[in-house]
Amino acid sequence: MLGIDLMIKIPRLLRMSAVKQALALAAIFILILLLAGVVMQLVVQSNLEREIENDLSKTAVVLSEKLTASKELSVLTPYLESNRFTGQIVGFMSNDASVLLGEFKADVFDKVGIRDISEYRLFYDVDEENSNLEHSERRVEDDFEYLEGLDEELNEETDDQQYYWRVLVVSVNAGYLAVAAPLDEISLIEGTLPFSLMITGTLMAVITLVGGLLFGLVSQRRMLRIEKGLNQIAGGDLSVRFAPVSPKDDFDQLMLNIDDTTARLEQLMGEVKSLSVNLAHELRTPLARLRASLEREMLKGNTEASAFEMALVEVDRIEAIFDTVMRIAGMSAGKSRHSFTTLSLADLSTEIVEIFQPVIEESGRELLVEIEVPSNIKGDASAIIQAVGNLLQNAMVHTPQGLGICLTVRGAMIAVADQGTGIAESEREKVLQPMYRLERSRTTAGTGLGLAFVNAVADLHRAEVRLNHRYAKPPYGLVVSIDFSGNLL
Amino acid sequence: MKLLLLEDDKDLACWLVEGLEASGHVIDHVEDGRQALSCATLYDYDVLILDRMVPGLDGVSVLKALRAAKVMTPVLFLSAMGDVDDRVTGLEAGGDDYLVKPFAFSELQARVAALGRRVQSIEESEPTVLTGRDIQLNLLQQSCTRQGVMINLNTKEFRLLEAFMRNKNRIMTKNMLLERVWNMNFDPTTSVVESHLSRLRSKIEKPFADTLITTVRGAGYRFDD
Repeated sequence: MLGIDLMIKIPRLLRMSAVKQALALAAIFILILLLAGVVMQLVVQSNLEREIENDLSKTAVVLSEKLTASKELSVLTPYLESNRFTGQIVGFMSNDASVLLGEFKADVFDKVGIRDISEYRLFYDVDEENSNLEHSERRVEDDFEYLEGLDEELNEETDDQQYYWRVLVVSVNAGYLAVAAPLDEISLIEGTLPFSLMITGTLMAVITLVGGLLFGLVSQRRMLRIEKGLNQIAGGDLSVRFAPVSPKDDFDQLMLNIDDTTARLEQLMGEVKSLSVNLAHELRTPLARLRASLEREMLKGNTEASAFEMALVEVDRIEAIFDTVMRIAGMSAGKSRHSFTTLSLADLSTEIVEIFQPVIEESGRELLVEIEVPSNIKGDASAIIQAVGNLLQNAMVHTPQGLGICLTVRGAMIAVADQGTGIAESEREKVLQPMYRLERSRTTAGTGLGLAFVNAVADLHRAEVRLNHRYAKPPYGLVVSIDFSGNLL
Repeated sequence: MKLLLLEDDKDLACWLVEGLEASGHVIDHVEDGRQALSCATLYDYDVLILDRMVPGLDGVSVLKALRAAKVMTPVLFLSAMGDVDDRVTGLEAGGDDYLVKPFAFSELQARVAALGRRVQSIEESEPTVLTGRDIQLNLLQQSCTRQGVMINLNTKEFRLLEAFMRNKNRIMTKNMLLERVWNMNFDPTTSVVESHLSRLRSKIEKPFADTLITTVRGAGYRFDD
């Protein structure tokens, strides 16, 4: 379960800033580590080498002084074997190459100066009896042959630092003095240093990554919580509060800020609500009084009764506008979303046809119905009926007598089509706004709110209202469709 | 009928009292909710007309208190609070009808009359057949016969006729019909009721060449027994 959970979350995680930070940090760490490693290695290496060379020089100086002082080759004897402390070893070859002391091969003395020589090129194979004088009887040429043979065999191994020696050859009166020190100390470091750095680096990278991922998961959970809360708020529930226990970091601060904003919004909405309730009361009461006095005058049997009747019609019209505006406002606030019920568009359309067909037919027009694969949605039945009623009413106004109005239900979409002149594309969006009237219909009856109401009902149901033309040439015929796909069951 | 009016708007109250008395009712008027509560508990009324936003005790609370005291007099709310939620609150609290201001006086009259008779009809058992003049409506079979002839009515036409026959000789306003037959608290188009009524009439009146349902101008319609 956790594995699948993780798998779903990981692509999302990779987009998270916390994880990106962790990855960047890990990369920087590794880079720094690499640099440090390289620098360390070079520094240590050169220090060690310098030390070795210093030691070599010191030994060479000491020995050459001794030789010069005593003129006896036997002073070298104790140094011919590997020194217990420094690992150094000494060798000597006379000027005429007749005397060869120490375990070195003759060609070591070829050059004066300091150089690295592989072990195989440096030493004799010592299984013969070790007598310095007997050594000196060997011919130098034999060594070269031996060396050449060896070289071919050991070509691959000459790169191995572990078997290298640094050799200092100095010229003394009697011949050449060679002092050699093993380089395996350095090679040890050269081997282990990068290795340990690699291990540390890998460990650091893994820990940083894992740590980053874990932090990422934790903050993702908090982000999801915030996201969920914000969605609820956007849906109209202003009572949502995150209430972080004690603000410990910027997430908590963010949540606190959101809570403050929501609280303020709730307060404002409360003020607006009470304002609108008062407004309703304050507007309806004088309207009621006006209506009452007009009715009273009309019933008195006045000769001006018709004038009062007309005034009454206007009062009722004001009331209708006000009522619709209040309804639209109510729907925009999403108030009735929680009272949605399951609706079958098939049943709903049957109801609509039952209600409005007689009205349309009595007006001399026809209602053509097309129902295809109707879906079930969640919604407010009376709001939808009223909205479609508005559309049918508009369609009647715009369809000449004798012609037909089409009501189509397809899937989650309800559409009403008339045979009128249509609406230009540039006006389609504006027409859905309250009180907007196309220039040519400014004088017709109606509140100018019909389409605004339809739009509000659509908003409430998270549905989409579309206006299109039926035909390619005039009269275009307007099709208004409401798509409830967002509220499918 | 004996009516009680709770309304704090003096002008409106004055007009209502005048109008209702002219219709032959006896009406008491109070301006405070607490007064309404005491009057309604002490005296017997046929219908209570309550405004919701009044001083003292608001209309809904008055109703709740009355119902708690087992006073079952029918109540008509008269209010500027016209939201769907407000209406629901009023009716759920025990109100029998809800009229939003501004309203036509005839509307109020018709509804008060309808409420007043209701008390009596509750005492009778729920009928399965409604009769009026020479027409019969069988509620169980959902059938309609007039002078022995079966008349084919669709669901809405049936319910429309049923609403009339349950309120014989009483004025039914358009709004009342919209509420009872179509369950609508609004008027989607001005001619829903007219169109359906016209259809109904063509089925139950035209073949018999007479009128069962009369149009009362400025008020509504009435089924004459």
